Amino acid sequence: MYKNYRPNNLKEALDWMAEHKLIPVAGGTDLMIRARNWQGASRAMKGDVIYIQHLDELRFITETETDYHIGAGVTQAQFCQCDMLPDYAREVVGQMATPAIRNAATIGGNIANAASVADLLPLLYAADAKIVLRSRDSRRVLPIQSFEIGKYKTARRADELIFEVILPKLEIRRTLYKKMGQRRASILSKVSFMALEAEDGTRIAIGAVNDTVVRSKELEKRINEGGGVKSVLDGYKALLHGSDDKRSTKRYRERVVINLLMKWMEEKR
Amino acid sequence: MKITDAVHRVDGAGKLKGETKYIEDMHFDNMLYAKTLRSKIAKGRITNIEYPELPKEIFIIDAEDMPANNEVAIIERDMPVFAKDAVRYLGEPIALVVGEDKDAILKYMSKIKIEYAEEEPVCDLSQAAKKPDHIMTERAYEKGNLSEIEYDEKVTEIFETTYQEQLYMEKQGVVGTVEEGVVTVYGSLQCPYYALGALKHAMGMDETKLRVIQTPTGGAFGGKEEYPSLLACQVAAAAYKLKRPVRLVLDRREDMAYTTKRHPSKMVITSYIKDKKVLGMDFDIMLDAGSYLGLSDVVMQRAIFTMTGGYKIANLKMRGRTVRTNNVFTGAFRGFGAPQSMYALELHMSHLAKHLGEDPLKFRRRHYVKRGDLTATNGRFNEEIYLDRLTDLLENMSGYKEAVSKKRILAGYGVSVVPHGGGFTGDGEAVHIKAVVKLKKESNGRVTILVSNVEMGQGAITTLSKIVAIVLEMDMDRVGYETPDTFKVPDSGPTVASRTTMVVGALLARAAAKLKNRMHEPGEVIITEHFKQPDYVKWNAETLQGNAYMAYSWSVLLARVEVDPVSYEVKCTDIWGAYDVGVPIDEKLLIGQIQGGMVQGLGYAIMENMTSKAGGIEQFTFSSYPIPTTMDVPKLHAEWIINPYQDGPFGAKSVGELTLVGVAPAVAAAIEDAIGIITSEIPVTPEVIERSLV
Ligand SMILES: Cc1cc2nc3c(=O)[nH]c(=O)nc-3n(C[C@H](O)[C@H](O)[C@H](O)COP(=O)(O)OP(=O)(O)OC[C@H]3O[C@@H](n4cnc5c(N)ncnc54)[C@H](O)[C@@H]3O)c2cc1C
Repeated sequence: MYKNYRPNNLKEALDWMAEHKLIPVAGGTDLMIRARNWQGASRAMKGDVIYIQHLDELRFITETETDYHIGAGVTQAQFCQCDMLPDYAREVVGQMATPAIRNAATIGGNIANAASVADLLPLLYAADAKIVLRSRDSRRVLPIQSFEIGKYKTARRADELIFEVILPKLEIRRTLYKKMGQRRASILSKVSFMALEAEDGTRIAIGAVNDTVVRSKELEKRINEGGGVKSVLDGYKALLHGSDDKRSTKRYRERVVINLLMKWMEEKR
Repeated sequence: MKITDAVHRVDGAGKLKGETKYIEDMHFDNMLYAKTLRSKIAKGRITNIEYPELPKEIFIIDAEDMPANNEVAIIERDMPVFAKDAVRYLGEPIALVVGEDKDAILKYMSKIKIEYAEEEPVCDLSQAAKKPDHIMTERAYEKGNLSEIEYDEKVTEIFETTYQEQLYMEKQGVVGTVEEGVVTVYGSLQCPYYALGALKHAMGMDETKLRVIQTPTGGAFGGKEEYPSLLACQVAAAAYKLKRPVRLVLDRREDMAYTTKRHPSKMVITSYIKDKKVLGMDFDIMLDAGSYLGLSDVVMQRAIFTMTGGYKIANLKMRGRTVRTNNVFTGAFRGFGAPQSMYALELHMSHLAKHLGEDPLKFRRRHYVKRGDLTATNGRFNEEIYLDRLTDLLENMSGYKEAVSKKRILAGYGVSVVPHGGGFTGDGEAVHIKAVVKLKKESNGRVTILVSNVEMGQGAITTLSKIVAIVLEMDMDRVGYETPDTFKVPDSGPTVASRTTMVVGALLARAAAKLKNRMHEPGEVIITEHFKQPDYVKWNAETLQGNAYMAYSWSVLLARVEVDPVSYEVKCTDIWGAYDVGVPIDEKLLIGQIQGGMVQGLGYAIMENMTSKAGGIEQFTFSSYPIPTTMDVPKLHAEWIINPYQDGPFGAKSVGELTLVGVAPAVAAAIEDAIGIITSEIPVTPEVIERSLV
């Protein structure tokens, strides 16, 4: 059995996390499933848990002149419903899971879980988002690339919580988002593709193919400079390390990425 | 009230309100939980099992505990209740670990050590079929003389299908108890008397000491036809030994990985064409039966008997084989062999039409069977068959001619024409099933239906009650339905083969007609009816000649899809269906079956990819095995003709399976039409499309 901690506020949560090794539970939509067990037996949690979903201090969406600040405890449903946030971001979240899951699942959970198929990540990579981590004694700000260090691996220390995501305000001219799954809803991505054209040009992030999101500033530069299509495609091909698994094939994943890149580059002309 | 008018479902309110108690909700005093100890390998001998010392309140039930036979009697008795010396598939049950506390059971199980002498498993269907000792059954028949015919050309194609999982909402579950000296099994199941038969053999007791009671069943689709017999034997042995109720409910992942599913198949079909007509056909199908025969031979028979579909083809050579592999054992699933063979036939017919430069419906029309024609097995179609009328109906309701003549980009249409025979194959109803129904007038004037056919979401209680109420000209709420309990109801046969309304309903209608004259009598009146084979059914089980089915229902379908040229994703936008099910008993229930069948068929056609790797099912979770969600469901259009069947209740024929069978070939043909490829396998996933485009 494991112990359950239910803090009254963020400070208490961070104090306890400084003193004990605790697994945060937000919406639980990843964690409860990973801790699955024979129905009716105790959940197979890997340690003691701390519940954070009810903490109001993690549930805010604000903006400054340059950025949106989104609390880690904001649910996917709240994210989708928030008019302040840009459409291209809300569209991504709106295609995740199902209405019931979106009511429970949090933004922080998707980021901290660091699944290779996590749908928020291509968006955050393309937007150059930053993750704010807090512990009792520290506050760190990491670019998303530095936070996500592998499949199910992040740079989070055990005593830290994700506090918020900083999403820079971009002047978006054009977007192309596509999530491929085995069906149209309530399904994990086989491939996900986010292309944005902002004031500084194209940004492309590819999810669910490699262990972590693929983003190459160098290739984006080549696209912006109108470099040869073939060299761009070859450049991306070299970065993709898809595999065959129970949901899809390497061939399919890589070909669809190439198709989407071509579509993006063609539409530009 | 007309028989076709929609009524509220008898079981609807309880289910909507959450009041219905399924096996997992039911309380039994002193109950123990059971968890299955399973093989971790696909093939080998068990050389040693080391059970740590048993704590108090943990018990092991295994082969040694079977009172009479460690065998599950299905048709053969080749499957053990618990694997003893050898294991033949990954996940095969070796024992039940039983206890009061689930955590304690799991902790104990983690310490059990099993040693195996592993052997090379045979998991590939085609490889297995090359080994003579892996052919479990083989059946063949011919018609006309295929080797002598003159033809313009012959066309050969190979088709493959994968597993399909029933994915009933309620998982497999049973409880075994000993009540007043009677070993009783409660369970979510389709066939109480199949389970009873298996129990008699395994327990060595008769029906006075054994009892099976069906509990509300949250979906089944064939998955709870023969498989619960295995579970019933396991919990019966456990309850008998421990003298306490024992509950075995599979977890979703166990259920998806280790219980029966639709047979993967490989089919080779050759057509001999003369003057743009199919003159002869050679068809060969093999089914991956897994490690035990189960019902596979019967599934294969349905596949080969209906293989010519709605067409009159004079010269035939048919062969079917069930092949032993070390994959999970396969079994009954809505359609029972027909989804495989009709997929191959109908997509092949569409390919032939295209090859001959003809409209696929026009090409089919030239081959349509009619009343009096010989069936593939040289029986005679006894009832009126209106395939042209159905095809006209489909064309009109969908605006077919105009739609297909318009130029389209990345949108396509596909059709199928499919029969489904109601009831058991050949003389099975008379020789094997011998259904008996009872109708009882209670002393208070109410009437109770006594049958072993179960409600599993399909609406059986509603249709059967309605048939009885209308014959008796009384309100439906005065007609009751006894729980299918082998101590209370006669054996009216299993709830399978689209037979419940057509066959059992007809017996009840007859019983009700007799009861009607005696309703004025005081006290209880019981009417018993036995199945009688209609005169026109002639069947020789040795030569496989005669009427393979009593009567056929028909569907003519059109599917429309759009294909995304970038992601190869398929969006099915519409399915139109024109049906002949005789006379529908309740239009709403008919529409329910049609919509459900279309959606389950669509899953089979484009997304439900289930594969086995080294003997293990790869997609055994909801997150990797997708079935359609509401977002995937196209517009569903259905119309039907009224064509009363002389031996059906109020003219009804079968519905349940038909509605799934024709969907996959229509959708596959539509995808081909949209994007200009030829396919030969289902599901046609985006990955398959990508590969086909080169
Ligand atoms: C039916 C279903 C459909 C789904 N569909 C999708 C989909 O389409 N796309 C997709 O990407 N995902 C999907 N998911 C996965 C899941 O819903 C999301 O990843 C969700 O965002 C997780 O959030 P949560 O709050 O439930 O996380 P939890 O399960 O509570 O936590 C996930 C992980 O993050 C950690 N964590 C949570 N919050 C914090 C925090 N503030 N600081 C540090 N660590 C934290 C937890 O310790 C845990 O390791 C689906 C899940 C289900 C059950």
